[in-house]
Amino acid sequence: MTRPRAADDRAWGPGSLTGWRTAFIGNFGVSREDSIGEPNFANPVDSSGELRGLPGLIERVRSRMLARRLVFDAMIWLNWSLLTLIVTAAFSRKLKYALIAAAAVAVAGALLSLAREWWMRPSAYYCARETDRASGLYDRLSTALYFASKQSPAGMPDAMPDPMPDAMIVHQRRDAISRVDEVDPRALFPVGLPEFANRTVVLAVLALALLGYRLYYNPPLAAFLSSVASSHVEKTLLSPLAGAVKKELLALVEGDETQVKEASPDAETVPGLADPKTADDASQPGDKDGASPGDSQDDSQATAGAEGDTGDPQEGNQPNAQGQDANQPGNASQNPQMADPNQQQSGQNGQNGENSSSAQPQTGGQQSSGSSVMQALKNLMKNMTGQPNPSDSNGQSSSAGSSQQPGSSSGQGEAKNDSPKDGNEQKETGSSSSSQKPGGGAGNGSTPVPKQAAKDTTPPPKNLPQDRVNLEANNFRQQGRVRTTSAAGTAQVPLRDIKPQPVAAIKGSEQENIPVRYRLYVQRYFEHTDKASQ
Amino acid sequence: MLTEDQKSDQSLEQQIESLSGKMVDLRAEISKAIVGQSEVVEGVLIALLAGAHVLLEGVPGVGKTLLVRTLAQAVSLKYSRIQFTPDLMPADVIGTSVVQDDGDGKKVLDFQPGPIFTNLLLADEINRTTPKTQSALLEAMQEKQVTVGHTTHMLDEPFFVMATQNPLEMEGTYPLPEAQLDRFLFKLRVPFPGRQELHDILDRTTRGAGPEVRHVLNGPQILEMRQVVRMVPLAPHVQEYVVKLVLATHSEDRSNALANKYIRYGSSPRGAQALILGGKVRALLSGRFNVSLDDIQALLKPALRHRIILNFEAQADGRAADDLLEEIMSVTKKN
Repeated sequence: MTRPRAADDRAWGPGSLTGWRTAFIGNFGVSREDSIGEPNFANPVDSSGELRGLPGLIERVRSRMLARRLVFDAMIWLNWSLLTLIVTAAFSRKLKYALIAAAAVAVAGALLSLAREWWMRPSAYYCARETDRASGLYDRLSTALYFASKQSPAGMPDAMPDPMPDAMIVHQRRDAISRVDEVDPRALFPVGLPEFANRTVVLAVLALALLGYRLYYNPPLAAFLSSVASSHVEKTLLSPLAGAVKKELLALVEGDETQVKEASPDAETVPGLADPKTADDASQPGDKDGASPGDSQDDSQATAGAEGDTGDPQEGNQPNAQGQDANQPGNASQNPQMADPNQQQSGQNGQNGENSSSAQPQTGGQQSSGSSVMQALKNLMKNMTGQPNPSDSNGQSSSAGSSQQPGSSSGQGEAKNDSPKDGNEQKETGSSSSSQKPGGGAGNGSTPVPKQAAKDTTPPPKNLPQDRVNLEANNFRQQGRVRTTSAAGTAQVPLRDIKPQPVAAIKGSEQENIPVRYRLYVQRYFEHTDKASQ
Repeated sequence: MLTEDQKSDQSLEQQIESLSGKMVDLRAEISKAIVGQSEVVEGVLIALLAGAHVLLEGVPGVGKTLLVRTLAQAVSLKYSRIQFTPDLMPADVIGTSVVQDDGDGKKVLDFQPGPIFTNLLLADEINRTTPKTQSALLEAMQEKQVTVGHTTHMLDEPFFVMATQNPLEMEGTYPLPEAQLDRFLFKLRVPFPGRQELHDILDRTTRGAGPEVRHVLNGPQILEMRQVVRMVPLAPHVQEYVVKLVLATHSEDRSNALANKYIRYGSSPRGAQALILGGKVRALLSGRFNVSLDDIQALLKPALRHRIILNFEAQADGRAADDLLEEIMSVTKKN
């Protein structure tokens, strides 16, 4: 069995983990040395006269090695005993239990150490080899000891002639014995404290301090745990957790909004699709003056700046305001969270004031944020699968959809002009069709449009939305800030399918698939630029 | 009155003392001609006393041939030199039967022994001859005999082959086969001399006549020493260490990652024999009567470096046999 020597322990720094591990585990798991010829030397050395002082030397070396091992083991078990004392004294209300436990560990460790060392006691041959190695005798002692007790080498059958004549063995033995006096077991195998003794001292100081504390006070850890249990756990543990979850949700909502608004500029590359500004305008046909800030506001804007511009009378967003009022009697007109999908559903249900009122008790925008996040995630999944689902426009701009909802569901504003077939769509596609209605364009020009809309040959409405919006009134500055506040490392995943849509083709009959309002909008856009150039 | 045992003890003691003295004298004589190269000289002496052969590898001009010639002069043995060339035939080495007139008018086949019939054979540039001729040495090196036709001729004892090869010029050479390499006890690398050694070489070889080497040993004394060497006791843990080292060179041992990665074939049992026999000689030369672990470690590289065959990965990684043996020695426990 390999045991740590003083030289081996030099590398143990005071703070090294190895030192602590050895202080408690020792060399457990280190395999014992190969037992070549061991059985013959487990017993005390045959002190024949030829060996002279060699057996005595080996016995002294063995006793010192045993002492070193016992001290080593004793220190390990002392550490365990001290640790037991510390732990039990910290928890147990009765100090005597801690003392008894520590004493039990100490006694058990002593018994185990004695049994282990007796079972694995070093043989004389092993001691001789260790002595050779430590004193630089080039295996003289071990060879002499081996051939003194055994005439033939280990493993050699007795029938084989012994090739070692006694003369050479005698010479070797004389050579070995002549060097016995050079060996000093005290210097080679000093019995002392192992290197981790300083850790034992640390543990002892801790144990003494704890014992002194316990003489006058209750167990510290037990008192601490009880105080923790009696305190408001929600405040100490759960509240920070809830706050963190809330922050994450808000960040997700902001990221959702940012992605939606970043996806819209991509639509500018698609011919026939509106730019972000005009898309917003196009999605707000219910705005007579084209300035419907609340219609295009999303959740984050609503939650962040709860200015309540949805029903801003100055902007003349009457249809929207009316729709809100219709859906949300009470505080709906002032509720900035009209972008909530719940409200959208309520808007689809027509004048279902109860449903809308059930969605009203959203304080602080948390429920709205959560639901928006869920909706945004759904849209994200749909977009990632690349499904040109018409409901994308609705889902992606959940907030916008809700703001558009009043215009469509209440049948006011632009809805009167576009509603005949849009109304059919709405019936067929459910809630998603609301986004395809004049009020449900979602503000993003890349929204694929159902084929049914291609057959829409309704003449252009007279009250077309303006192609310019008042940015300040729409809080677009805030949106810009939101857009740039995406967290570092956050992937900017477009919520829309930004690939060129087939409906955006210029040539061919597929142009018929372009919704009327888009076509008119583009037409007006270019007319406007022509006028501006002129 | 001395008993038989006491007489034998005294005889052995005299032999050992004589051996030690002769070895000291032999080293002194060799050092007259050879400057430095102490490890090479020690390896050659160990192989001589162990009854085996030595392969010297070194660049031209470092004293390989001079070492062999000086040793032959110092030990007073028959000495032959064979310069191996590509057109050398086995008959040129071991001899051949020629038709001769026996005096009665009859023609008989008479065996004309080749240069291999000697005590000290210098096989110079052994890797420049064909494997066919190289194989002519196999029987002579292992069994100390030569078979020509149906007749086996015993070689004189002691028979000691010292072969040299140049590691640089590999073009037109025939690397020794593994069976041939395995028959060399040691493969000694002759290093280039250092600055001071070079000065000494110049002083000795460019002023006056060369050194005169006297005889300090003869054949029978060498054979007697070989018997004494085999009497040196070996502790079991030392033998176990040798076995571990040899097994560590084999890739069959899955636990040996180093051998699995770089070694194609490990050492043969001759490698273990070389370690123990060389260790015994080294112990005697060091004034000990037992083999120690340090003897084994000191002889590990010369004894095993030509017995392990590296694989392609080792060559690609630039790993030499000495490096691998060094690592094997460091990871193999002595106990």
